Amino acid sequence: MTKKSILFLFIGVVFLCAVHPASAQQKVKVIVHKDVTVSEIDQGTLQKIFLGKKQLWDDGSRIVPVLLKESPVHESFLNDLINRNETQFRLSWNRAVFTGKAVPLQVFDEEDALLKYVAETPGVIGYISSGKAADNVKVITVQ
Amino acid sequence: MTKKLVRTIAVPMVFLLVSLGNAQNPDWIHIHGLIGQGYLKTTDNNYFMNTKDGSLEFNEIAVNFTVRLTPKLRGGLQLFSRDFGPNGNNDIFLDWGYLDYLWRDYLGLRAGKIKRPAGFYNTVRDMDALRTFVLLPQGVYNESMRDFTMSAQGASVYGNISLGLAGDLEYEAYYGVSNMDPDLTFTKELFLNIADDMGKGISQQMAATGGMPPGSVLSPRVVDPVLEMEHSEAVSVIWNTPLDGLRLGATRMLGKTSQSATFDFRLLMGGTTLTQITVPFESSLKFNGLDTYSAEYIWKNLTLGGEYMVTDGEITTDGQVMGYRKEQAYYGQAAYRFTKWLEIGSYYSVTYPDSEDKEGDRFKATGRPDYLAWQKDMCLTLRFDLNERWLVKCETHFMDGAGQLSPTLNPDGFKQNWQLYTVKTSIIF
Repeated sequence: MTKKSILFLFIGVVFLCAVHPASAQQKVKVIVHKDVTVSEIDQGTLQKIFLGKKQLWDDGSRIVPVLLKESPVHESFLNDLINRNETQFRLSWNRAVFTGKAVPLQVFDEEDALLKYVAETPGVIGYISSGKAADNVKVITVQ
Repeated sequence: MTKKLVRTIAVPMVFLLVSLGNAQNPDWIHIHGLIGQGYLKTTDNNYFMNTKDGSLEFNEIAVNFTVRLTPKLRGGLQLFSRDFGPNGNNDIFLDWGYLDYLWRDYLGLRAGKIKRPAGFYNTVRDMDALRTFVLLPQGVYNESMRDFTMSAQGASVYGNISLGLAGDLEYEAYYGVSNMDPDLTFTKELFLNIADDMGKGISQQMAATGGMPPGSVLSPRVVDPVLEMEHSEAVSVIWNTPLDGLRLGATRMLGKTSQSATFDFRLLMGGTTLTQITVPFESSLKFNGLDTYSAEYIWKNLTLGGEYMVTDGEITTDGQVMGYRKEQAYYGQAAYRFTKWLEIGSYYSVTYPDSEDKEGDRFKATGRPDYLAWQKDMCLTLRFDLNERWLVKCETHFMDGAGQLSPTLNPDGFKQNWQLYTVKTSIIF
């Protein structure tokens, strides 16, 4: 196969696949366990938490970020607040896991299960859709 | 040595970690792994292995165990096995295994067998499932230097320092030691090259004194080769800039290797040994600096990046500086994710094994081709994520030059322009 034909094949695949899936625009709210003293957080700090660069709350206790499984809420959270697509986010955590620098984040299938975990577990931070009632957890503002 | 290490340290550590984790909370134990299998094919030159005929000797398997012992203390290890042509041969070894105590975000300590930071991708260089490309740019991530840079027994301090509006700074500094596998292609060729040079000198001396009858040849044999990293230390700094997605990094690695062997020279004539000369050998290679400068920018589905690496090594025998090893390499890359299942990437990489002879003048002066002085690589990659855990990659490399090719694998010489094709599939669990 010549260099030219491979380049044409490459460009062809690019055009064939240059259709983006509709991105979810659903808004989310960020929630924490009630004992977490933070009531608002800037987007940069939220990114550092969910990219594994900030692991401790200011009082020295461990931050436990949790995720929802792939869903419009999850995509909206990653795209709008963490500024990463799902694959970039997953690769970033896989790199940390396979070099021993982190353990994988816990993923919940349902918002109710995530809410229950956040309500019961100190140090946890997660997110739910904006229309979901946030009982027994603290909603924090993202600046 | 490797199997003994796995038996005596890694296996008991797995049981210890699992027991400790079970005792506290079963959710605190994490077991993960990946398996990858690839195929390599080249035209004109053999690369890493016998690739002109195509090769499946290209796989890796990793399993890691991590347990959180207290909120600030973690322990873990990864068992790893790889086959990469003549290297690895699927022996199991301890890739990393350490305790990690994070006191504050800005200060943590790791102790045990730790991954060495060098550039953005050194710590994951064996696991291509964790990046876009099958093969990293070989100038900056030179396969022959893999064992110098992968992991070491020692300790490191690390942390993330907030700079307020200026972003944040990640750092890691380590000190450690390691042994090199004497069966690696790199190690074998290193000692064979030394023996070859030494043999030429002995032949000339014998010829001058009439001790070398016409038709006789001097055959070298390497006995008990040992290549050891006496010490290695590095500092890595990554600045996550205020421009979201832009990070800049720098790593400086220092170290010293020592190599020793006994060279057994036999003067042969028609299959008969006329005489035998045994020469003990010791030398060292001091790295005054293996520096890597890195940049990466992620904007939505686009990732841009580049790295520049320069080495400054000093070869010493009996306290005398005998030569220098100065390499230079750089690359630029771009990758774009079009859909959840497709990412396309490309890089252009340039390598000069001797940065003081980029045009190959020294090769030309000895009657050899100038393209031994460089290797330039244009790479195109398609990455298909079939689902979250399974992926397939197809990659093509257009090569110019033979600066990193092995003479042992290419006994008939080299071609300047050649191609490399690879397909690889991996699963992560």
